[in-house]
Amino acid sequence: MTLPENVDVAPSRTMGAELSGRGIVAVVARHELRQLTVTFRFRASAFLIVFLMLVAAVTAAARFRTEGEEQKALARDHARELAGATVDRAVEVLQPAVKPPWRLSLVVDGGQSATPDVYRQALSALVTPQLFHLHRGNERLPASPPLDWTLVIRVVLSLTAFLLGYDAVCGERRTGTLKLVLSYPVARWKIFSGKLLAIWSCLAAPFLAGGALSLLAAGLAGIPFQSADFVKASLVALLGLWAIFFSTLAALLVSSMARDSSSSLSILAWLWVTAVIVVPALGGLLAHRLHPIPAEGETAQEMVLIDQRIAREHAGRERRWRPLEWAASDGFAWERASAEAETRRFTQKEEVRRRVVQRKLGQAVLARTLGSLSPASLVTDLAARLAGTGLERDASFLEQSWAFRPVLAGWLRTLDAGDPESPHILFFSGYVSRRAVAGPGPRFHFHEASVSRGFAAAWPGLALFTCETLALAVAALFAFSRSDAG
Amino acid sequence: MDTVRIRGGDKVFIAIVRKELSNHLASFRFWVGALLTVGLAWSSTLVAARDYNLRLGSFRERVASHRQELAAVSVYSYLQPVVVRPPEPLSVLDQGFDSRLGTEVAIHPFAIPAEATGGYRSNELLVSAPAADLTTIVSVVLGLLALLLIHDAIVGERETGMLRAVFAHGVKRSTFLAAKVTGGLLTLLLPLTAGLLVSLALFRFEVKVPLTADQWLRVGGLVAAYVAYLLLMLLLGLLISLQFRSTSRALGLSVLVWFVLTIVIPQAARAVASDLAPVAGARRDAEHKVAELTAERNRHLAAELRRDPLRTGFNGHTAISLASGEHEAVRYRNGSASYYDSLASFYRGEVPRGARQAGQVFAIEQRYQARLRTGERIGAALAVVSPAFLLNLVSESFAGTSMAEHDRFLDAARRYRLTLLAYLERKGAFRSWRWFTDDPPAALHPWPGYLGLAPEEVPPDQVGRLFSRLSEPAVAARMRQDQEAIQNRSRRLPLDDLPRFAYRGPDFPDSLRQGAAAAFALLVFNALAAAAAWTRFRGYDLG
Repeated sequence: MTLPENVDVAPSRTMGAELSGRGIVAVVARHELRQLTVTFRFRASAFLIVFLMLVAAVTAAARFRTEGEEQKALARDHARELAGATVDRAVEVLQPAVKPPWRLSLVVDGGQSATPDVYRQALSALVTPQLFHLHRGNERLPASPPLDWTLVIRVVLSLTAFLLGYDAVCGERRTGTLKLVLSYPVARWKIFSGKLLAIWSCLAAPFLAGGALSLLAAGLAGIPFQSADFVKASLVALLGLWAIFFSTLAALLVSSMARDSSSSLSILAWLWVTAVIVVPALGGLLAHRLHPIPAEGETAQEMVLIDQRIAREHAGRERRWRPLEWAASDGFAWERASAEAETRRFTQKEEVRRRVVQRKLGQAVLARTLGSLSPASLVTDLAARLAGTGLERDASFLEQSWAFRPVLAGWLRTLDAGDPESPHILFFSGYVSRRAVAGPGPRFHFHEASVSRGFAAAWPGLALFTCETLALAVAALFAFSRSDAG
Repeated sequence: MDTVRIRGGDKVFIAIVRKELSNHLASFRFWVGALLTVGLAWSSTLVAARDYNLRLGSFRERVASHRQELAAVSVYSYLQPVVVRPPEPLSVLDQGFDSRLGTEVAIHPFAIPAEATGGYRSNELLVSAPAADLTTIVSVVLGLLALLLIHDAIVGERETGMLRAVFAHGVKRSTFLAAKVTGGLLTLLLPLTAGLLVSLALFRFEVKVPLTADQWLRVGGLVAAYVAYLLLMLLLGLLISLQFRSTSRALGLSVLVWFVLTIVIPQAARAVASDLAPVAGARRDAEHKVAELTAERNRHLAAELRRDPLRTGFNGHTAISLASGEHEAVRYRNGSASYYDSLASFYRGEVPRGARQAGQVFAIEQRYQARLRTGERIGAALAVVSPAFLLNLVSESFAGTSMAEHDRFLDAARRYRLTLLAYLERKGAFRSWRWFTDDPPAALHPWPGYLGLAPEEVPPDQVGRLFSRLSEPAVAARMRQDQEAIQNRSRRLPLDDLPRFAYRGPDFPDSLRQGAAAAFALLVFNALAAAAAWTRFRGYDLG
């Protein structure tokens, strides 16, 4: 019925008898399905969906394993560095706060394979904290987002929905089948729903099969999924089904309005390019323009100003450190003054560093918001929020890492306080306890977002997507019911 | 086609081309594609130009700062010029690897440059937005437009019966086919030219650096690569049009082919090469081996330092001012002549030894780089069937933003290191006190001198007490006076004859060499597609 390759009205005539019976939507859907499933484009689409989801599973598992190994190596190096260290040494050891590899990277990566996952900070004010992504990957390869379900939903399913639905109405109008079908005493919305259901099923089945297979493959390849992960994956799968529904509605709307199949697919192809490539790219470009991050030079200049301010305010009383035995003679007067100056310097510089990071987060949020004007990007954003990844996970990681500093400080302060021989100039190496650190010390545990928190973050977007879907459904139904049978 | 008048081969060709052109220009799909191209070219160039300006500003700041640091150097161990790769102006048109990779390399005897560090970094949290530059626009938007324009070139004419009518007038098949492709190509050249002009105009206004003649040549190469890519997409569309009996099916397959070749294959190839040929383990191995070598060297240095009792512990000969920098840079002050003699004998052996060890570290890093190259080759082998991937390779070469260009910069840095070593050797830097101190041999100020003592007169058990006396106001004032004298320019190293680092962006022949393989592949694909289309069309049933 939708196929130019089977330009044949006979099936529609046989369907005519069934149409007068019960379950019209099912009859139309079954008939459409029979025709669609024999086409090359359906087979190619189904293969592409399942293939890409399986590749996504294999690559995500490999990435998870590599990232896990790298983080373990980092933890080992840190433990080795801390083993047998004194408090005096420990204040200068960079303590890593690590964002664990994202188990649902296969489902929705949300940028986790590229955004910083390690924040290292030492308690000494003389050591600058580091924020970086541990897994460097192969820098000789062009940067690209990893394969995941959301990429399949956003890029592949939307286009394949268009490929399956572009001639669902206008193709039949050209062959005269539409005239015949509409001549039956059947409500148009039922025929429309049947077509919608058929195209949707053609994509939903490979998507669900690919999803299940990819989860299985990733599980077998070593990703230790937890029960909450399956709930989150199911939510993303539901969102994927919804996105297919949306894309199919768009295809039927354009097909109902276009005068021929070629025009219909041309329009849909441009719509796809606009929604999937142009709007998100423009979102990023506009975010650069509207919410610029400070240039390196500006930040460096701010740091220089802080140095100058500290030098002015603590003139002659900073950066004077003497050997312990010589400094003890005046009760560490020089060293205490120097420590105060350095602590103030660190606090002020850290404020600048955090402000820059917040600014970067703000730019990324704006890019995402602008990109969400495209339903394709909105779906990706919703998937990330529901699963608890994306910028929310990055922001949460930064907050938790920054909150880890007082925990570390409390631990070393307690150890230092127990040593009466320590000058207690916190946290400056050479002027704190020389006793060995007992035990491994506090460890950073990253808390992932719960499902309910994901819902809370996603509900405005879900409401927006609901409105968009309803509007599109009404428009598509209206266009179909008003479409000329030819 | 009905207006085509047959008056000889050339005229027919021109008439068909004109007809094609006017048909395409009247179509909705052309205008959508053209507007998207121009709009995206405008917005992406605007942001890329701003990004370039930031990187250029950062480059200039870094160069000025390094030059300032170098001018203040007073000992040879601190003579570590930092060479900085300038941002490539044509990265505004094709970002490539230009802003992703490091830009700075410190040149010194103890390491052979294997990678660059630093450089301007953009927002590492903004990873969701796809990059858009002129090459992406051409490969995605104009690539799709090419297929949308050509998909019905044959099958559409066949459906309407026009094909038979045209050939009834004796038009040669080759003329017809060539005219169809030429018409499509000329149509595509309009948005391409418009997008390019918009980009170049924005470049002119936003970037205050005019393009050199050589860069204009490379822009020409870039355009040639775009044209070759669009021609290939047209030929693929033509093949599809020849293969099907229905316009709609031809269009469906065209879109699917475009999607697979432009989006799926490059993306999947990168993901597979990146995740299934991991380099993390190799990197860890290399880092551990380098760390072992470094630890071994540090142990050796510590042991060598301890060999002479004069160099161990704190005594009347010891230099009380010690500054140590990166890459074994040291600067001693206020030491005695015998202390400096001892240090000179230490560094005379250790600096050349460190330089030799740099070769071992470099060999380890080269093995890691070879692993990265294997991943790169896997990615290329998987994606080589994608014209968009080939276009990327060629355009990065012409834009000077390719990985090969980065390698060329590192090669230049390595050559410069050898030049610097020869310069240091010529100056006798490794053998002289000037490697580690700027104290003039004729006017040494060992610290006991401030207390009216000779270095030999400081008893080991009195060192701490005597040292504390240096903070007495009168002594401290004298020391400060001396330190101010040290700041005097006369203590700085005369570096007028220091060889300069010579690196310029690629010239046209360099670019051509770097992109030759991909350009050749693109041309071969064009030739194959043209041959296949011609073979198919020769026996084509006119319907």
